[in-house]
Amino acid sequence: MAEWYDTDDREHFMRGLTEVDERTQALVGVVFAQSGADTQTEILSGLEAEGRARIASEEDAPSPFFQQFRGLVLSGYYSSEIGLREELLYQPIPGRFDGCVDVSEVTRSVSDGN
Amino acid sequence: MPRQEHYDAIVVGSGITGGWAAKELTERGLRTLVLEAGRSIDPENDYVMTTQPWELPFRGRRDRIKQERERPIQRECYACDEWSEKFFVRDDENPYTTEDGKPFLWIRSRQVGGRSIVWGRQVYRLSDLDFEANARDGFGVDWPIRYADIEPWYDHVERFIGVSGQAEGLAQLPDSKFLPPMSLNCAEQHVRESLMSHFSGERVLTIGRCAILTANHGGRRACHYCGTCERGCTTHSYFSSLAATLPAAAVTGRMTLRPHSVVHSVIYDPTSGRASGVRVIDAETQETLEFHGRVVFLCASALESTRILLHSATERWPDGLANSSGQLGHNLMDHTMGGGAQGNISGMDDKWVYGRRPNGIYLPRFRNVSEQHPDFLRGYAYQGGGSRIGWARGNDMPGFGADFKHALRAPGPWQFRFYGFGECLPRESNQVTLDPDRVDAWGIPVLNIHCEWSDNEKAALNDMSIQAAEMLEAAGASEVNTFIEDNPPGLTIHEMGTARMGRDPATSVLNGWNQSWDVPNLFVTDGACMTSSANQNPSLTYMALTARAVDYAVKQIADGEL
Ligand SMILES: Cc1cc2nc3c(=O)[nH]c(=O)nc-3n(C[C@H](O)[C@H](O)[C@H](O)COP(=O)(O)OP(=O)(O)OC[C@H]3O[C@@H](n4cnc5c(N)ncnc54)[C@H](O)[C@@H]3O)c2cc1C
Ligand code: SF4
Repeated sequence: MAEWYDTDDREHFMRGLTEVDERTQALVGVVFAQSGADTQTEILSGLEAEGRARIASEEDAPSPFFQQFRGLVLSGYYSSEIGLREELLYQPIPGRFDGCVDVSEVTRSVSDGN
Repeated sequence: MPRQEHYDAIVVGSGITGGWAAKELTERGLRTLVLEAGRSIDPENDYVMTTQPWELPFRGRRDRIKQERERPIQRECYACDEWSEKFFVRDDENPYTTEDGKPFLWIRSRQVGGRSIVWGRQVYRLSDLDFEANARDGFGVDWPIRYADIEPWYDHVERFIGVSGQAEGLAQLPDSKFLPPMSLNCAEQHVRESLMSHFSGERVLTIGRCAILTANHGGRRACHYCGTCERGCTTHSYFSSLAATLPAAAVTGRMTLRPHSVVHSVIYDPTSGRASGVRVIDAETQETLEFHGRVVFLCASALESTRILLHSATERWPDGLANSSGQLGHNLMDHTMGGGAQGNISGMDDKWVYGRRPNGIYLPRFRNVSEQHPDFLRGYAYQGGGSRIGWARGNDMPGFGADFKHALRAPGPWQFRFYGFGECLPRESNQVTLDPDRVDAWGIPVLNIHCEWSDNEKAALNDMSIQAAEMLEAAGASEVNTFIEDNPPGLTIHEMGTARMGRDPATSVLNGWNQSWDVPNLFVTDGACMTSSANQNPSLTYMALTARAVDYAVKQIADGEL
């Protein structure tokens, strides 16, 4: 991240991380990582809802912290070996193309190669 | 005195057109030197088709800081990603200038194979609707050729490169010599059928026509649908000069391919009135060399070939070699892109695709085919297609945690997108000149590029978006959203014109055989020669014109004319 984000994005992200701990401190007196699963869910749900409200109300606002963080988790996970090979349907060499097949129970999002 | 070498033919550039010139010249018996400014590419080591995202430092999301430094313009191209950026030029070594507020994005490759390694592989014939366009409405000069002149050369090129597609019998988009088509997916099939009935056969959605093998062909293997062509194809299933034309030229034993050879200028001999060869700067040693040949083919890509001519000015032609007409550098065109719409298609959530098809749909031009539209001349076509979005929709979906992850395992709704590509009128004011104040890494003056869209292009872009929405609605799509992107010229990467063909030496640089009116043994067969732009992806036409010009040149040599 130090090398990918520009300075503004990085500061925005670090400020967001600090705020998560401050909010958890205010609520239960410990930092986020030490809090219980219920507290964590509560904090994240709050952040997500605020983020969604901001996206809806302001055009061109920087991606709110929660959405920024979740975007990183998503692209990190789905570009990892486990995310690609085990979570998604991994088909490096499909061998053929069929434009219309049944979605079966086992079918999963196909890795798009990215 | 620089070192000198003699050949029958010299080809400048080894990309899509240079590869074709090399193949055709050598197969007809000429000892041919191919000069390529860039490095060699070795598919075994340079292609990154099998590199997984987790093996890259930025997981395929690009090293933004490095790109900002080395490729601030090239990175605007979708294919210049963390895998493939090495196949694009470094902007710091290959600069050019534009006026403030009038950007032109010039996307280039300098390597053996040129842009054929990263191109989108879409190939469409032009028709007489295109070859007659300038004569009909008076923009630009008349093409010196008609469809019947180029048709056998389209056949010739397609038989060799392998083009998959579906014959539709449309006058405005003649069918190619096809290998079996790739299939439409269920959403695309549904949209095709809806449009057929709603527009009574006037708007035909067909599978993209592409230079990708759907069956083994000419010693190359059929596509295995991995879907990441821009990283290079180790089975040579899509056409590139590296995979097909250059090997064909090599087996003749008559090709000498010289990488790291930056052509500086064409050498003009005033006594004979001909080009005697080219001056080259060795990119590794900075040494200046001279190579001599009986004919010279410029295939360095539209703007690079024109730049070489501008830089080869002589006493007789102070504004650029072979420029009696004064048209050299003028009439620059690119296609517009990015008017369109997308929507969701319901009723087929139980269906999906298998494999990653490296191709989309095509909806050929329907505007100004039979009746004149009140707002604009010429036309546009759509690419695009249907797909079910995968995990990426998680970015816009509420939630997190285990349920969220499980929801993302299933594919999302079917979406369909029409994305338009429009014709650009030839206008003298869109032009390139040499910039007197700036040189590239090899000391050669760079181009100043001036290019702007006119109201005609903007009106067509607007119509693309309206018509796309109308078609999606006709197909019963929901949540239809229209868009009109504001893409600067250049980014469609179909830059062309600047040394146009014509019927009259007073108003054109090249005759109907891609031959310079002024210097008879000089040919320009890349996009520089284009008299109008049509709206089809142009490279197939460049290839056909190249093969046709070689055939002519070789016959002229045999007849003692050259
Ligand atoms: C991402 C992408 C997608 C594309 N998709 C499509 C598509 O779907 N369909 C389509 O029709 N077109 C497409 N194009 C455009 C297509 O790539 C070009 O039209 C085509 O490559 C032009 O062929 P060319 O031979 O003129 O130039 P290039 O293929 O660019 O080759 C020119 C060669 O000349 C060399 N050269 C330049 N200057 C000199 C010099 N001074 N001395 C020596 N050598 C020199 C260069 O190094 C290069 O190797 C796409 C392009 C890109 C980048
Ligand atoms: S999709 Fe086909 S043509 Fe493209 S890289 Fe894969 S095998 Fe090659």
